[in-house]
Amino acid sequence: MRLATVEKVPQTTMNPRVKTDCWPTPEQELLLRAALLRGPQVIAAWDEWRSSVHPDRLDAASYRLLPQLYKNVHAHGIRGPLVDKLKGVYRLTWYKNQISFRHMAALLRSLHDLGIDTLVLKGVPLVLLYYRDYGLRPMADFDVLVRRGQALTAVRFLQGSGWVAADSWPETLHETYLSVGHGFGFRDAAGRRFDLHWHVFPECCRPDADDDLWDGAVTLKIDEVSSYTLNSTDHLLHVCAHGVRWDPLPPFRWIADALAIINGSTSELDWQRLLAQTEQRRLLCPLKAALTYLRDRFDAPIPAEVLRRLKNMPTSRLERIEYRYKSRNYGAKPFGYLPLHWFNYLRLEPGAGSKYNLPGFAAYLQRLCGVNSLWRLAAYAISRRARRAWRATLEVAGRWAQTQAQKR
Amino acid sequence: MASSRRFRINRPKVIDEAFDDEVVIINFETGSYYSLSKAGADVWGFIGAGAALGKIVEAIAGRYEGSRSEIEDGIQRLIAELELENLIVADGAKEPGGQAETRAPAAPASQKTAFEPPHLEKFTDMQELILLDPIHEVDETGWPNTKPTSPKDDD
Repeated sequence: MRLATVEKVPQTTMNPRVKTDCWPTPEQELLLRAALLRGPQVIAAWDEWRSSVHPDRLDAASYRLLPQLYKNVHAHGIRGPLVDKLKGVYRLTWYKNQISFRHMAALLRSLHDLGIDTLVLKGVPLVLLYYRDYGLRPMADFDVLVRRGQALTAVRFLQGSGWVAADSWPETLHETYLSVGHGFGFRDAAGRRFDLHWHVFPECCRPDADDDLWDGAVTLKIDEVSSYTLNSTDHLLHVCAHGVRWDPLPPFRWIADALAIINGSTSELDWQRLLAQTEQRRLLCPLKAALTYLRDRFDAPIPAEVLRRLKNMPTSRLERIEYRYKSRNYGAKPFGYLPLHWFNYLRLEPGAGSKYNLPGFAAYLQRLCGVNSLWRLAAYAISRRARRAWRATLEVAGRWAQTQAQKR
Repeated sequence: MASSRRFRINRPKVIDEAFDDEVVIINFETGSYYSLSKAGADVWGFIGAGAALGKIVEAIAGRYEGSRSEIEDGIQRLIAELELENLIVADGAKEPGGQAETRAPAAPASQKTAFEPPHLEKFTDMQELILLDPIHEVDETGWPNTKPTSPKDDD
């Protein structure tokens, strides 16, 4: 059976307003409170959210919280026509996840048959280990980590099985990209997405960057197929570091994910390991911001000592600049995504000497784009700019035509 | 009626989940989605617990108000439908697997609800259904029940 498993957000609920930072709006925070808290606070948050947000104008990121909202408000005795609709979103999520997890398991089995080790990241382990409910967390893709030395075999297998590039960048996967990138998005003919990772964090792409994450991994069974996933502590770091960064689709679901790990982990979180991993990966700024937010706004049981130590750990100026840049809307900034590559380059090449090592950065970009000279890199950049401008022109023309049609 | 007949849920081809007073079922071989509620959901629960047909009828009669023959007919029809859809298969086990499940006290007569013949709702066009807007294109009971087409839309 072939089913498109793309996470579909109702078009009518898309909010064109682009948020300027990575934190939830007051309305989104109300939704989070109604979906995640317990007791009278839920009812108060639900009432306030209902009076401030019309379901027809719900933004796409909020839509992803609706199954959890249903489960929580229903458990608190709230009933009504909207709750019945939310139950439908929950049923749909349950159905799609059941079907797509099966498909995913078959794909993992094929990778294992080739001798490739897999470690499943993000949604699947969150659903199976922490939410423990197929209906609670809609998923747009599957994220699977393979060892860097096996990445090319995995890529060739996926390409040979009909999977193609899912994103506008990078549109093709060059072998040189494997040494500087952290993952690549694929999609199949049915619209399913499979994100292949050979590094867990885009910021940490040195060859041995994930060795200790593999060493600390725990087994995860998906439909009778045994794979691995990060242990709870490493998972929390991943969720926080991945969440506290700007994205066109506001990633505030990380708050629900992090709370699910903190509250739903069967083993105790190893806070020492969390601090050590964070320091080693130079992710102190996002983790500090994330844990402080979770404690202050959602009363998450994070030891005060952990927050105190995080606060006292030194961060470099570059780390602070990187965090500030990533947590705000860099899509609208003049250099857009380019500084992200610059930060990753500096992290990858600690021996690069001066941070103004432009020839080194140019060589890095060449590997990233799979071109072998500066001229080709320039041509590549110009062609991408031109294509982007062309797409923007088409979008404007389309909107204008739509407006004219509506007027008529 | 062979009251000692027993069935089992056709796992792993079939998966089910209770959502409040409703049971939803997926047949992985076809991708079809099914829903059972009220007495149908109870019957499904008893089948899952390994109860024999006779015990299921007895338990349903203890919970719902209706004539014995009406209840028997309704349950037999549902079971035939579940078998046809490959959601359950006949189980040759002699010993009851979960008889205790049907031993739940019957509801007092005043609290019994009227028996309605159980109905297996089936949704097959899943490719289309999963692309529905689950807020705006569904009826008041939510996905996967689509909004009825208004006469205007038929024009």
